Amino acid sequence: MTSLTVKKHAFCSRFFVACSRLQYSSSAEKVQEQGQKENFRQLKIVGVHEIKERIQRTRFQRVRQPPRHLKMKVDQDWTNVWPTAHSFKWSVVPFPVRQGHVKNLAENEGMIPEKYGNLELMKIPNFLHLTPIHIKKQCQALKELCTPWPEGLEGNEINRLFPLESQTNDYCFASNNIRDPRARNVTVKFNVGNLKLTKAAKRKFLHLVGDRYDSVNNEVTLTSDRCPLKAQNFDYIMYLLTVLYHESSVKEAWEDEITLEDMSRIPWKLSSSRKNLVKMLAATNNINIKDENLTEEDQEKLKQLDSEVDEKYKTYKSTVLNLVNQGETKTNIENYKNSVLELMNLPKFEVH
Amino acid sequence: MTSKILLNIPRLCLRGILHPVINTAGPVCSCRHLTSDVASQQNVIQNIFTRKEKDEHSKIIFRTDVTNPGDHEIRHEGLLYTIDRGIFRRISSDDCFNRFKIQVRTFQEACIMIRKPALEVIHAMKNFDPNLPMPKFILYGHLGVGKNMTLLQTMHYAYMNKWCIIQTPWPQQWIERYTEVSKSTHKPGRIDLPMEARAFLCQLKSQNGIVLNDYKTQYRYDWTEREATEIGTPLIELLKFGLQRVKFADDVVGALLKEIKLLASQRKIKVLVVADGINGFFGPTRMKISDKAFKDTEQAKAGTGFLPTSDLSLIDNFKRLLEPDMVNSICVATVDSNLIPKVNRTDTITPQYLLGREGFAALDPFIPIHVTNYSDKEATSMMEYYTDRRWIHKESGKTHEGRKQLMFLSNNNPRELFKVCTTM
Repeated sequence: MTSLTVKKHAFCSRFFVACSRLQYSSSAEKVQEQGQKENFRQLKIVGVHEIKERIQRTRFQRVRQPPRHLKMKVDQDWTNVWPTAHSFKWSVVPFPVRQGHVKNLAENEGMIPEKYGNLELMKIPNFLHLTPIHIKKQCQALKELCTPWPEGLEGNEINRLFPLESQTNDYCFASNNIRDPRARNVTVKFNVGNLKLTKAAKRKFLHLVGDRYDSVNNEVTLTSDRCPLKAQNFDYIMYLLTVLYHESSVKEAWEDEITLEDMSRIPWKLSSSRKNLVKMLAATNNINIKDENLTEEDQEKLKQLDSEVDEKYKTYKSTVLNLVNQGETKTNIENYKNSVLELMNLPKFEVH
Repeated sequence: MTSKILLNIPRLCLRGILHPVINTAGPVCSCRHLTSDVASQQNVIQNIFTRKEKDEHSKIIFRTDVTNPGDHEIRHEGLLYTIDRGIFRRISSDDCFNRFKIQVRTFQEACIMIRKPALEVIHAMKNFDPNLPMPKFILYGHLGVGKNMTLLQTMHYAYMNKWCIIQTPWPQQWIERYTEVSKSTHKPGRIDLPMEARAFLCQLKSQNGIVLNDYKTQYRYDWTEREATEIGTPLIELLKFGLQRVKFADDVVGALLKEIKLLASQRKIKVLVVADGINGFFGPTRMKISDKAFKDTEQAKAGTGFLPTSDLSLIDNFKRLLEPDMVNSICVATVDSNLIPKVNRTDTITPQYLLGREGFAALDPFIPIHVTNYSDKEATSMMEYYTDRRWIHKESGKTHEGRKQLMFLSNNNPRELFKVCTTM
């Protein structure tokens, strides 16, 4: 290593000698040529020649402009100022903002830093490109690309013709990777009434679907995120739907042997309450049901009573079914009691 | 005027103007027979918790002189009233209200609290539609909560208004603790319980002496070739025949109930059907068919298992009262979780669960009435009564703090409160 530096040094000294020689020779040549051409510039040496003072050129000085927000007009179009998403620019934003943290009163005089050169404001996302005017403008621009809504598809008609409703999300952001794992989720909603199912099949369908069924609006919601792509997930839901439909339509041989005791929900037509109600009505109309030799008139009246029961005593019907099928909650018992009081023509006991 | 006087009593006592025990005649006759405007009484009861130690012995009004259950209103709720002991003896026959009878013997008076469920039933008894089938009130609630006392109060009302009372005993008497079994003379396949039927007839007699005297039979009953009850015999005669000829007691019960049903449908009498633990009358009995008592019966051919309740002629007769052709009458019944076999027993007290499918089918539509624990006001009133009867004897039981603890210990459950107060 040291030898190398020594060598280098020798080379340097030699180089300088060569240079000085060359300089010398060139200056001699210049003196010779001076006589030949007077146009050439003279070498003027301070002290030998008189040297005029150099004229100082005035330098162009740039005037520093005030920040843009000070020059803004009140009625300007903000969309032109901030057309797209951009990180915070202190000079453009026309309102005072402060962001950051001061540790103590000594730091920045205890004041939260203002917007000038404020890094904290640049870190956070802003929505200055999404003002109502922006959105209006963008919609206006998109309108040219849209077609009018087809006629006759208003209200319920759309649900009938397009029973499936799928929901997906697209995520758009500035990052080094534009994929978002949430974009693969697919949700499909549909009304159970649109499926052509028998009563038993519907019950099975609802059993299979479980808590995905919403009894309030009679809708089933299926979601999937098990496949990596959106299209795959949608296909999977379609597959699920097909399987559910066909599986619920299957009828086993033993299902014909079902009795009232096996039923989880007692239907009104077969319930003892309905029979009791008919008996009660018959008794009030002086018809003895047990009598085998009923007159034709009585039989007709009985038939009429039997057909009227469902319509006439709707509140009683619903409260009894709630009590029997949903269980004896406080409200169910209370409702049942009130409906029976009404049925029995009894006054309510009211506490003032 | 009376209310003013009453409200001032504690204050006057404090000042030494009035002696704490008042025995003067007039509107304020004695401390245990105080009557007054009830609104002020309620104020007094509510104020108990804000009282200071000084006036802990001041009396709270817990009684009412209104002894006719028909006159009770909601403003009497939480007060106690006395049933005439003669009437009580008539209403409560051999084997019901046993716990209460002990209390009556101890306190030397039949005093019960006026509570909301009973008021509700009595309100319906005053205003029901006689042309519609019998409304059935099902009382439900936890054990010891006062379902039976509600029954007693409704029965008292019925007795005072000359209703016909049909009260079944605790169903275990018929389905488990029976004494004697015989084949039915009326219908083959049925089973008679002659001694139980006789007891039932005795009870009918004591509860409905007047009604049975006034009315006569409208059917003819042939008992044997020689013995028959003609049309126009007083019902009491029919009943006495049942008492004498125990063999036919079950059939006499059937005949009497049939007559009463007919009288009710003719709007001659009003009927109150009372059943404590009505859920015991549905489902199987606790009678083993393999028992040698049933050796010669038709059921014995079926083999093993328990006898269904519908095979007992007494229960069958009673169930006919629940049919929709029974009019001009009211049924008050309780459901009790004690009647469910211990293996299956849960904490559920709701009527439909306890009745089961068969019972629900027989009784629906019924009116469920929830009997709850005492409210604070009622518990305070009751403890004041116990203090008055010297059931709460210790000084600590009379203080505000002590009462609070008693209420906490008993969870305001009437039966528990009585038990807890036993030690005081």
